[in-house]
Amino acid sequence: MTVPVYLLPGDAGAASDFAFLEPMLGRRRDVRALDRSPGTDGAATAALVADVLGRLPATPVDLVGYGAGAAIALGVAAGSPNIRRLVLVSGRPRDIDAARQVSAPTLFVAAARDVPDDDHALPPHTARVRIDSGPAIAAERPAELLRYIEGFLDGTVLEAMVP
Amino acid sequence: MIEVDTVIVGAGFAGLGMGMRLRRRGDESFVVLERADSVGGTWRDNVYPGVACDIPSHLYSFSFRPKHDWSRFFAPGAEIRDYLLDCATEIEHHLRLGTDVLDLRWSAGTARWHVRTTGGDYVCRTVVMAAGRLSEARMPEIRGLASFPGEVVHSSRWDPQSDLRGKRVGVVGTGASAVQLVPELAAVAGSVVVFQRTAPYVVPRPDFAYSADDIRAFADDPAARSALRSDLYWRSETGFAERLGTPGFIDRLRATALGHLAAQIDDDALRERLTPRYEIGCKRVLLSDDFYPALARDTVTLEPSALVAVDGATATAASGAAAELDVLVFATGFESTRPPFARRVFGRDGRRLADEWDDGMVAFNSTTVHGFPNFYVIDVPNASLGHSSAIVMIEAQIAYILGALDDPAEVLEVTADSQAGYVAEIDARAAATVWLGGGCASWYVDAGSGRLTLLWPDFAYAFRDRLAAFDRSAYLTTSL
Repeated sequence: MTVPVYLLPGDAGAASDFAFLEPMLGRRRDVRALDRSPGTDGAATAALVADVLGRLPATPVDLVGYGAGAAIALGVAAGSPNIRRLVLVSGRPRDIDAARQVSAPTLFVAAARDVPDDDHALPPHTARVRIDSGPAIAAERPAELLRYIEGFLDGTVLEAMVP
Repeated sequence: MIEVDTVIVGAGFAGLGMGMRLRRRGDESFVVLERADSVGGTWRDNVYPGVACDIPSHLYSFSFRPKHDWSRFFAPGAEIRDYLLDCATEIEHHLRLGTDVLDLRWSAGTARWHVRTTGGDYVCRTVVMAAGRLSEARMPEIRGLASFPGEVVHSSRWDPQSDLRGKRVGVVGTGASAVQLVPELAAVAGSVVVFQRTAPYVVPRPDFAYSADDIRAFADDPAARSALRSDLYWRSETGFAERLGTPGFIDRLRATALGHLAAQIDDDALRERLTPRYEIGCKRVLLSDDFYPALARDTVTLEPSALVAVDGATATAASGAAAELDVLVFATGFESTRPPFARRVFGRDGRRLADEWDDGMVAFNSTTVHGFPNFYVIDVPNASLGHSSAIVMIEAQIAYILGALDDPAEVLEVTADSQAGYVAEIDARAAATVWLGGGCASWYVDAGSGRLTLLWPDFAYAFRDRLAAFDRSAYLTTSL
């Protein structure tokens, strides 16, 4: 059974970052995009994490953090036992302590033309894939991103297939 | 009677690709039967003026036989045909040209297919049907057509010698062939009348010639060429969101098409006649920068209704408008959803494929059919795309078939349940698409059942991932 998927956008907001992902993931599962709460501009990561934790249900969910939302998603997964699977896209999560506390299986999608692969703090059970794009993966390669996220959430094996 | 492991029917992209992959892995015991005198399928048949592909050339070619020197972003038809002639050299000794298949019959006793052809008979374990989906010209029945004194030609049967200078030409249809053909005809003919049943959506065609530097770079750096292919592929995939009618995506595509029309057609009445009344993507979205300008010429008339009758040289449209013509060109497409080859295939217990497909084509994984052991079909059903390259789909099917051939079972037949489950899934996914909900009639949809039987109703990657491994649990297997 699939659980709801919560999407945390980067600085551009959900309407921009998830214009493609939200409806496409929504074809076969329950998807909610969480924009930042009003008045949280410039807030510290800890405050943003607390805000998201307060808005999630007390039941299992899948969580996708995109861009700046990836660091927030990592903090959320460290602070909640209800994150079933975690997807971090194109962000720069750097909180090593938070990463250690995450037990959920994690997918990290990196933009090949962004930063070196080792410049991130990632949970112990992390599968990594790279997409040949700049940091704006959701705009440059949305369908490829969808394929990895759907495959990961479905639990099917990811095989790199080059057309 | 010649015995081989595998008979492949058809030497277009699908049949050649299947043969090449067999040969490359060391298989020797196969033939490719082709009824015409040369290979190339669609790209051999279609030689009308202006014929070209509307999928980028680096994506409309085999990943396992890349070509670095495509001349243009969208290849002209003749260049694709030359590419396929080159491909065919890999399997030259396996080609049987001028060989029309009369029938194929499964013999349960020997677990072999018996293939009768105009060039002798074959017995084989496996049949791969690669006869294509755009092979049989579709000609509408027009009252009195036999009385027309001039030349009557279908776009896929073009005579390169025909001279239309100064002639009065009628063109029936406004699909993918017509939008390429009409500008070429308008440039030489005395006058052209275009009979339009349904207005197409047309978007700009961002074509360009690759420079000598580009081509050298692709030759020197295969990784750059491969990265380009990958980029073209993933860009095209985004287009499926449009076919689902996703807000934003389909709105931008529609605005692009209607903006193109507004930019190219000044005349209000003509623009009105060229404005489609159904949702974009329901019929194939066409790419052209010169179709609308051709229609705006003084010598070209757009008749906004179908050709219904011919009486001598007079062609009459449904609207009642009539024109005197010297030549009639039918750009009316192909028998896509009811392939004639199905009438020649007889499976287990003598069942005929055309009868099994009486309510529209069905298969498991778009490749195997219950009742037809060791039989594989490429291109149909539900293996075509409205948003990306057919070659991507063909390659996925070829790889799947190679997996089946590696299976130790002597006989493989997909179960009825597996097939029914797949078809139900196709129908459920198709229901969400603009192809069924867009308010048009198209060659993607089976006219009898109303089912979407030609197109795969999802992203191409979903098809490739699904067919990536041969799933023998869906099959009844028999070992001898």
